[in-house]
Amino acid sequence: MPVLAIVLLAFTWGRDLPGAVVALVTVVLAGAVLAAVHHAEVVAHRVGEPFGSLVLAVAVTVIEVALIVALMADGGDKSSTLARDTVFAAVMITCNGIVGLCLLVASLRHGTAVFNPEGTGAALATVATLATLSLVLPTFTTSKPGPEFSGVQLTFAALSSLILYGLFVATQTVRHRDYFLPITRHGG
Amino acid sequence: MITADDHADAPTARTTWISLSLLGLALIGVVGLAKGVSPTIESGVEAAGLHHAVVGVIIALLVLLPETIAALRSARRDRVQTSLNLALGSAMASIGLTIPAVALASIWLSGPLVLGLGSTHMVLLALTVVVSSLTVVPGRATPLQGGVHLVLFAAYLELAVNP
Repeated sequence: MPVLAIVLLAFTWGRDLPGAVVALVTVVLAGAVLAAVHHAEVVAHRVGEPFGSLVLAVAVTVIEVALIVALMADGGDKSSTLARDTVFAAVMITCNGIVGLCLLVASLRHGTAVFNPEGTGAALATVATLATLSLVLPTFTTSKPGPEFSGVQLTFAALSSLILYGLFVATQTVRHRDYFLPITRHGG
Repeated sequence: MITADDHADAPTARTTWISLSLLGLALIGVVGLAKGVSPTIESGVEAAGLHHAVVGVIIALLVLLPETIAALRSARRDRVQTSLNLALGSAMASIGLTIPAVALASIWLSGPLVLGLGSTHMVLLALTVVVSSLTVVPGRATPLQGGVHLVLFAAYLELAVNP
């Protein structure tokens, strides 16, 4: 299925698609999503948590970033806000959509949803800091008019993003891995 | 609580590498095809008379579909921590890797780089952070917390349709 998706992608890239091809693309897209989930679970099973979820998150983001930069290089009137809109949509979908659905499903099926507040809280604090530094501050900074950063500010935001993300990955995978492991209920 | 899943033999190194490369291919396919259908989504959104921002949201939903399904499967198996790792990890990777990449790219690119959110989105972000903190601190959640997050998400979708 992944190979089929790539072949189809190569054929359809940069073209206007007729209705029948769009239907085919949609089916293959759904298949590729399911294939990605399956292979991510195989990898996760081998490397264990929390490395498994890290692999999926980083893989999707790297591809997404490549596309954003490619589209920005193409230019166009909408490309100046593309990075912001994509990142904010990702934050809303993950932190409200996915979190809400998972808490609902788990608590309805198992009474309550239990997790590690230490690890999850640290992750949330990192997300909040990253989002505020990169997406809120530019609106209020005075060095450059409009919702933009000046060069130095942008460099600071980029470096602090990288450092925070690196620190989080190190914390999650090496120093405090146990804070990010699923909780097993005793006597449950 | 031990599930059958925990007892299954770990896959071999070879299977893992094959899965890792197929995972990469599948994800390139997902992201690429999602952009491929975007003109169709765009014309559909315009035909329905909706705001243009809806297009970006639909594509983001498609791109994050593998994470969503993986997180839901973990939640059904009572492994909520894995779901939360996936959700927050994706949010973090998205900001933490996109901002440095576009900052670097802006050295070569001429156009403006608008990063600041509008006021309604800022309110949503602030509310999300406060509510998420209250959800996370006790270490356990009831369907109420799930519902609150879903309502916040619905508000984001509603604002995309009617800004």
